[in-house]
Amino acid sequence: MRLQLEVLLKVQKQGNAPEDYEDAIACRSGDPECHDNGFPLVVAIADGATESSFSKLWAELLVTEFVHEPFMTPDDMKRSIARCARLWSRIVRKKPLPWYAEEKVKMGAFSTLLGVQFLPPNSDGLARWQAIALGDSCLFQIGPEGPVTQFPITAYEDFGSTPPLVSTDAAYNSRSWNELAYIEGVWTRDDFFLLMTDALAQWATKEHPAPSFWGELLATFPSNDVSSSLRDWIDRQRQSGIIRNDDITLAIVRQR
Amino acid sequence: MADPWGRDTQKRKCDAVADAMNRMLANLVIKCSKSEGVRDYFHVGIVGYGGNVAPALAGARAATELVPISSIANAPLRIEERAQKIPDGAGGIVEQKVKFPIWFDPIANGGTPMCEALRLAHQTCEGWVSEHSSSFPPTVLNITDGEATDGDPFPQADQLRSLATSDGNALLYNAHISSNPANPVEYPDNEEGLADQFGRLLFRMSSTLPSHVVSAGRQEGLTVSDASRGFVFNADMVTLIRFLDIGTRASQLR
Repeated sequence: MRLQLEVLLKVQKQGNAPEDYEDAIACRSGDPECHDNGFPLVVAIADGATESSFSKLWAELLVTEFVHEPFMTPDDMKRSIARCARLWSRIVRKKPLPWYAEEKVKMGAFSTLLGVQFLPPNSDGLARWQAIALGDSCLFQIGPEGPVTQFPITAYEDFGSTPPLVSTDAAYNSRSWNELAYIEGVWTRDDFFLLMTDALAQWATKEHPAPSFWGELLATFPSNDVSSSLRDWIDRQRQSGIIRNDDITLAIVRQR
Repeated sequence: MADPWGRDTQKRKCDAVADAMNRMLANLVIKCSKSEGVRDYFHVGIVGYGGNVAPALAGARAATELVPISSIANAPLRIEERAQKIPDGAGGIVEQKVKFPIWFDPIANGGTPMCEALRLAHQTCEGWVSEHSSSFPPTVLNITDGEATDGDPFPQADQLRSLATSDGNALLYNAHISSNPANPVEYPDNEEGLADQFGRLLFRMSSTLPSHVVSAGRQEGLTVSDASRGFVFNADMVTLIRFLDIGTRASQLR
């Protein structure tokens, strides 16, 4: 069995420029498209908080750190986050900043983080996966009959504008660690996994799209038209208020 | 305005008003600050009312002109440094130097033509609402040190609150900086316990806090109910700036 990550969509909040997109996604190879990965496949997705500055940089540092040195325990995560925070601080303080940017940097940067590791099948033939998350970026495991697992948020009303976040500020993180979520499971060759940031995850939690919705979408992939037709669909849902206007990232992990 | 402020008699009321305005603008700018600069999530207009009613921002051509928040960010009169006490994350408090930009210096020149100021705010918001009919409605923050000297401001407040976009009615929040040394009151849900008749009038003039503000306030430890009004007495309204929703934010008191 081989797994492959395909990034289906990376789209900025409507009204923003493409460079204002503040989500980040990475996989073990360092190539965000990650086309030819075997096991273990390590994937991370992060959503930099709108209200912090240099949060795109922070989200990118987090996903890069995770895929290169996956942490699945709170202690490992704390060590990795501290390393990322020192790097973030060195980068943002390289040049003089105007007063407001200086004050904002003191507040730190914030981001969600969802990291998933797909392990090679065991001798018993079972393929395992494990994931860690802080915040509302979500993982969906979908089987032929529908969703098998949704992580870490499963209820529509639990999506809000102040999710627990990973910060460059250690004092803030000390209040977030108890919200760190961990899960592990097994999968079969008929399953696939979707990783998505909160606006789309909130929609999927409410609407429970049938597996055929994703199946139809994926049947056309890889085609250059998928991204643009998805974008059109997202635009329509945003305009009618069905999907919240936010940066959106959608990726799939499936067997090839 | 030159009278001492009730909560700190070393400070004049006009100093407290100027501080509240400067702090509010600084928080709004910092809220919109991103790595590339300041994003124009808000357009802002400021009306000063004392001896007369006039645009209070240097460079604004008319009292009714709204300017993008980025142009305010880059044009304070000067930047001071002040000490701020913050939690150290280990249960203690540390003092940190913060940049405190000054856009307004205190002016004590008598008179409180609040009716005229609210009328001008209405005129400004009316134009904006017609051009941005699906945006979040205008938020008007009225900071005063005393009673209106040009009539009953309630009808003007009522008219202002009746402006609406498809996302709801305009919001009017009031802050009363008083000579009365009574304890600060934040977002009360009834008139009981307010220090005087004027406080009660300002309470009635104030919008009920929208539900998203009430839930954000509760989450961050404020004592608010569904009937809480956007009114504070001898306090500032910086918390309300934090709850202006532009996207994912870190909960500060979680």
